[in-house]
Amino acid sequence: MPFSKKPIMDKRKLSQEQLQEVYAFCKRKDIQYLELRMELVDHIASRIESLWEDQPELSFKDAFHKVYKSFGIFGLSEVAEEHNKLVLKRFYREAWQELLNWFRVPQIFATLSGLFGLYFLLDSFPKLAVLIFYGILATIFAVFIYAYVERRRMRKALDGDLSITMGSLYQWGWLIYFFYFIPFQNLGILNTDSYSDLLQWIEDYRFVALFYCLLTFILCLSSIKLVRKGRNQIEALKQKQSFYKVV
Amino acid sequence: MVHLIAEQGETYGYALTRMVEERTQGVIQLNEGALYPVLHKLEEKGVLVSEFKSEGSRPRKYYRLAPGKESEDYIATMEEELISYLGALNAIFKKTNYG
Repeated sequence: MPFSKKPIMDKRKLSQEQLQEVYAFCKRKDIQYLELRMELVDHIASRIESLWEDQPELSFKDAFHKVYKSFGIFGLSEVAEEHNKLVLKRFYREAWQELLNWFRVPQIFATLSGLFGLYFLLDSFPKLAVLIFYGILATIFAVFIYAYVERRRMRKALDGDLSITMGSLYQWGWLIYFFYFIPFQNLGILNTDSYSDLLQWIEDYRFVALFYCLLTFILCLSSIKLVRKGRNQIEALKQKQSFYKVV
Repeated sequence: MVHLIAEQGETYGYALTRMVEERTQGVIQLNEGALYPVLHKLEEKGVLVSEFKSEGSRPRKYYRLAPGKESEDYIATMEEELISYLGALNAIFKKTNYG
């Protein structure tokens, strides 16, 4: 025989059970987001397998311990913390992108026409302002309920886990608090005196009222888009998550 | 790191740590606490895009440069900044090295 073939040793890989163990460990370490958890499980598994190349006799338990120890005192929490900050910022990024979209050609014509139209409507029919005010509240409430119900549905589909898009939807509640609750918290809208106060306020601050209309539109649209994006990702995430499910 | 991703076309976190270690002959060792926050930030900035691939094995997240001129411009700017920074450091060491 001209060539003597050496038997090729298969690289030692983590078994399904061992991967599930690493996955469960990351979950216990409060890696809430599924995408990050799966990425870290792959990283830890790759490092264990690389360690096995040099020390093939090492048990899984020892190799795992060695790898985790090398992460340092803060271990995975440092990565998770940084990741959580980015998730929270994502909603603002989406909302900002949405805002920019409405100031690009050709959308800017629709935005300006809408704002001018609303301004002249408020000028000609001041009482319409109250209707618009209640319209804003109703829209926010409707979108809030929609986002809440959809988020619960998505979380149920992922067996209680969170996706990045779902996490960023949390910011929706905070934005409502900052932009709507704080400025209007002294305004009891069901009380008749406040009703005339509100009318006066909108007459005096028409531009602020227009700003609120635009803001509501942008925030609601961003939330709806995020919900849809989250829903579209669920099937793919479920499929990936099923790899680590203990049957 | 972005340069390595651009060079490879697409790659994943652990492979990046190995590449950096090999190329710098162990001088630079990227740990997880430094690697992933940077990758995630670049993804949020729109410089990188990622995708999970399974292909019969465990899911793995691959990163690649975002399509479009913006990510290429970002690399060019970062490289320029780094070269000028290294030049500045070099100038300091040359002046202080009286040997």
